[in-house]
Amino acid sequence: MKKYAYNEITVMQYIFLIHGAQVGIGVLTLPRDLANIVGTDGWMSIILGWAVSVMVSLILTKAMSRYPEMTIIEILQLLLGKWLGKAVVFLIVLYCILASMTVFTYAVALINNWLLPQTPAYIVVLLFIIPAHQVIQSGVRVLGRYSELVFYFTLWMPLVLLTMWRNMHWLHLLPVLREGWAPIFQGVPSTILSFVGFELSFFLYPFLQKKQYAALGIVTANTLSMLVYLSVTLFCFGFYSPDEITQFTWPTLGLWKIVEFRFLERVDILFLASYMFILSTTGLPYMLFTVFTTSQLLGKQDHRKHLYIFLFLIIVVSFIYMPSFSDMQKLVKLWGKVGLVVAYAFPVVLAAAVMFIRKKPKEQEA
Amino acid sequence: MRKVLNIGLALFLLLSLPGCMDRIDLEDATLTLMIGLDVNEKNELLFYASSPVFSREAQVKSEENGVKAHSLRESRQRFDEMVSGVTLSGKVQLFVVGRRLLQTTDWFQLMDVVYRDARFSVNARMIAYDGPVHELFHMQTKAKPRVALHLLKLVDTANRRNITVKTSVQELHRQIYEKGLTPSITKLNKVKEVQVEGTALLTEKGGFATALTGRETAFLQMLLQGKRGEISISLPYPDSDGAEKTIQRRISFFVKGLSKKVKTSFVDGRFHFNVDMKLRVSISERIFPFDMDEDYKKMGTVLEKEIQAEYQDLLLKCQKLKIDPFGFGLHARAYEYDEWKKVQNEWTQAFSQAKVNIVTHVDIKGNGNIK
Amino acid sequence: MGKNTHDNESKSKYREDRGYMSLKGWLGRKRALAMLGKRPITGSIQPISDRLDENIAMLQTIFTLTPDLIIRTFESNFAEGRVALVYLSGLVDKNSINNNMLRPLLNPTSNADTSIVDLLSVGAISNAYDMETVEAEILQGSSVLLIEGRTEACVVETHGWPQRAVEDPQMEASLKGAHQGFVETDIQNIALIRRYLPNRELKIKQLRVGERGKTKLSIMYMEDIASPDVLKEMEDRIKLLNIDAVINTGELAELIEDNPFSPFPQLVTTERPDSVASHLLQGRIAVVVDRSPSVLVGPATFASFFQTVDDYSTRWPVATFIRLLRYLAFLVATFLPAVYIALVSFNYEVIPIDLILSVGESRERVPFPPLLEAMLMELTLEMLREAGVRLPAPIGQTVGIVGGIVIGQAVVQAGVVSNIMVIVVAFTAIASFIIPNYDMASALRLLRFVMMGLAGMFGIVGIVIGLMTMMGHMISLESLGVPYGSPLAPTRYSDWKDLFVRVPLWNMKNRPVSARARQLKRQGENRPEGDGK
Repeated sequence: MKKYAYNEITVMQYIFLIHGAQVGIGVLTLPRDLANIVGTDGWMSIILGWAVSVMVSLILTKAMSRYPEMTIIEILQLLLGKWLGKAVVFLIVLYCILASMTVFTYAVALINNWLLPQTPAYIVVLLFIIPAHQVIQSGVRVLGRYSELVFYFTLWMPLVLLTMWRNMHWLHLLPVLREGWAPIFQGVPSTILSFVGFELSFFLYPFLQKKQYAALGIVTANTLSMLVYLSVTLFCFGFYSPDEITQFTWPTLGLWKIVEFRFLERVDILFLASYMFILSTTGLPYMLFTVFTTSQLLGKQDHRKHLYIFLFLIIVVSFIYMPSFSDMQKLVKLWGKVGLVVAYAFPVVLAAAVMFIRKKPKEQEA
Repeated sequence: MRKVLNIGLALFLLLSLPGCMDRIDLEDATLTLMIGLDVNEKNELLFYASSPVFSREAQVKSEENGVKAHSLRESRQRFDEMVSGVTLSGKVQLFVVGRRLLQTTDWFQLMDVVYRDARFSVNARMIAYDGPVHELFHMQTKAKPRVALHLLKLVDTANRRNITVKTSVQELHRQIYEKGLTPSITKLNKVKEVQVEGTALLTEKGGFATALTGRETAFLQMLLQGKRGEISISLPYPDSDGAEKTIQRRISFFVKGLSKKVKTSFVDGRFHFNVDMKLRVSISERIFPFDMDEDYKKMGTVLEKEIQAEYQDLLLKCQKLKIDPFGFGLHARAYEYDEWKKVQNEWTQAFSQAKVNIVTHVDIKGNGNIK
Repeated sequence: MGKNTHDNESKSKYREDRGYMSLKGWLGRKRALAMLGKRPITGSIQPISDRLDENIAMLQTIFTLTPDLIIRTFESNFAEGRVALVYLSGLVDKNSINNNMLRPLLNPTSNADTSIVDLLSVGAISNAYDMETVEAEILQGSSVLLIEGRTEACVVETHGWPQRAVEDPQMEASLKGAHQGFVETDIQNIALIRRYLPNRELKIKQLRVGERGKTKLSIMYMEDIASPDVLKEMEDRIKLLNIDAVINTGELAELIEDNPFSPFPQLVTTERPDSVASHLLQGRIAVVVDRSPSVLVGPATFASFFQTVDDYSTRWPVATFIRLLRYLAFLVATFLPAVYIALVSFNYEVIPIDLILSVGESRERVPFPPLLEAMLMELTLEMLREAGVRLPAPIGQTVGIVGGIVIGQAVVQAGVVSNIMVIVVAFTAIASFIIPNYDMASALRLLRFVMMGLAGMFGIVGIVIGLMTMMGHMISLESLGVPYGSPLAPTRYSDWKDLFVRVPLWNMKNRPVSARARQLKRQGENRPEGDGK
């Protein structure tokens, strides 16, 4: 019967997995990037970027629905033949490694910058290995539940952000379309990068329990992420002067520094701590699919052995080398570029391929 | 599988032994609550820090130190040489700049570390002290709590009554970088005791321009923030033979509600701002006879006139000094963007030529418990 | 139609869980099966002889050194020869034996044709044909009539061992709920449950577990509600047990739970019949363990440890408030000391200025780092608690007083511990008493120390790591193959009606999906309309 029947995910889990993978490191820097390129009209680029990503997501869903019980690994091998397919899958593995490592090092760097400046990075890496191992070892289903739970955990954030309302200067947002449409379109590439993450559907689709909701789910996930980006960006623009926002590396974090309650000050520290949860929902899926793909490539059902090897390698590498600030910027940029190809170009190509190459899965059971 | 987990756990425990590197127990820390910046006559930078002393054996509960250094971070080393704990800047509540330093240009660059270091508190209140800062730091008396806490309360409560502004370090950053606005910060002075003395208005670069009294600050705040906190205003009531009397005609009221509309236009090569303010007030004091039942409309128009006159003076003063603490530049940018773009780098110059017209409408909503 | 789709859905959901779960439990089960083959067999089947003397001799060889074994032989008119009545004196009801067995047998009033069985005025009578059954029945408290010339023995149920009266439950006291708790006899306990569910769908499967203990386990479930897959899982796990004896429910829970390494309890043990009844109605399965005053209920979810019977007998806004209070208490009991440590030694910025000064002043005299200080106080608290549990009430109070004075006063005055720490410990203690389930509260006690350690090493980052790992563990945990984190993760919004908020009863139209019930609807339209309509 179904190959992944024992590991199905619900539509909710599908939505939150994709949404979790999308909202990650981008949200910290997006307002600054947009202010740099577009100015205070940048929020419109987000909506445009959302439209693009929704379109590509739908194409992707359509392509995947051709072989509903197969992950991209099998589809590629089916379409391209065994060896060429494996080669392309290997590239996808590299992409997953790149993505997960970028998120991982980013998280470690943030912790090292804001919370534990004196602690060596490899110890922070070691710390994060524990929950990563705990969540990933049980597969997609547990990861889906994890994303769900984390989503509920982060629901306090918009409420606290709303207490900032009186510090907002909405005049900053005017005039709308101050430089016309041209800069807004220039900002779109950097916003569509923030929506990278929906390409996880390459792997998630066959696990989805009710395939008829796949399109709805992926659009909901994209919309949720869009709302997050939009509100954060608008709040940043309202809070920081347009002349000042480009001065900050992480304007979103700075926003939280202002929040103060009678019983609690410096909410940014708590925010950053809980932000680790958000980052984990970005990094963990990529990690899971790295080991999932490698074990599938080698024909193993249980991905746990590969997970241990992978985690062990991370520890070893972190002992030897931790990227510097500028290396990390490069890493993020690289992920952006590759992500553009994998998440936006590849689905379109795949959809075309699926349309024209009509191959039946070999071992179709009655 | 279990074994792998156990080994991993053991490994982790082993490796995490040096994990306590960031630990600074509270009792080993010296929390700086107030930082002062100043220059002396020889143009040397002076840094002051005030921190609470937790020890029960100590008689004085707060210690104040001053050092010479070239930058804030450098001064921290100096302080570490003097105080028992590790100097920490995460709970700084007040940031005081002395008069002499305010007169130098570019003193704001000294604040770099405040924004760069993630652990620095950006909610500290900015204060301009009219005099050498060491006076402020060594004012500890037995009757008052710790200097920093005393001043903190002083500033916050004064701001609640709108006698002064409350500008945080973060807000100062915005005011400095924002082209359409010049900074305004709390001003303290020592007459007999240290007291709040209205608001210091700074130029674009942060140099001292002028000071507003507490009374004027209320008007500034109304224009800048709308109604926030308590706004209580006391005005003279025109009187034909008032000059010689000991008890003059005065009327006080507090503002219950305030709405303002700014209309921006660009006519004849200069900006026009028409501010339409609607005030809902309640009379709190009237020390002269007046028939409110009959003439409350007359009272309203009198108040309108007085308030407009106050604003006229205030605006003239600022325009003369080429400062715009009211943030009219933001309105210019929002509604006359093309014109703004041309002058944005010399906004204060443009503002000094702008025509600002303030029209107030006073609606008397309350008259207190007696007639 | 709606019902049917629901059923199919829950079934397929179950199936997916099962495959997953059996992977985990597989190894243990394999080992158990191997043991099953090697089980030592004591004696072979020995039929009952038609000669009474032989049978008595046989019994005497089986029961050597058994002074409480009574063998009474007498002549009876209704038998061809002599009759022997055999029982263990402490385990039988003497009144029943004297009045209902011996008297009619010795002083017959009816005519001579009546069979011997008809003379006995006892309800449960059965026949046994071999000595093993006879032996087992005697050991269980039945009395056995052996009759000369017959190859079957007459087993008469005359149980009557020392018993406690039905009392208020100790661990799960309730304000408005019933005040009857389980006792140590399973028949009584089953009766207590059945009083709530006089329904033929209430089925009981009885099994005996333990080579020596022969503990009687009664698996109770509502046949038309409970999921057959979960039931089978429970049955299989119990059947595979190969053990001397199961002394109480806690042992059984530990032997059959899904993940023995988890700190969390994965099955509910309760001593309240009303709570068992409501669980049964939700589609869960209960196991009554003979000789143990608590009943095992599964499948459990994390949230079910925060619900009590009283929640449903108080008005729903109050119940909701108390429910939320419990979750808050859960957070406080697990994280408060850790947060204190993290804030005082790492992230002091978070504490407001006035508070930080008073914390600083009270910390200043303390010679230990916060982690040690907290550990010291928390351990003291745990010791006091443990000391109080097993002491008789009058001495227990002394412990409380000593603890209160020593900790509350002297320790602070001596400057060993700070005031704030005492407050933290007190809060934690109170919070941990709010958790309604003892097993869950104990789990949190342990987790608290782990969190404190992490916080002591890495501050707030450590707490986050701990929380992440705990969450990861919780959602990957299963109870009888049902996800433990449900209805939170996996999300089942229909069950949220009884999660944080306890909505009015008339609104909870369906049984919780998390319990895997196969028939979901539990009530019709019950909304009170008042006088408006």
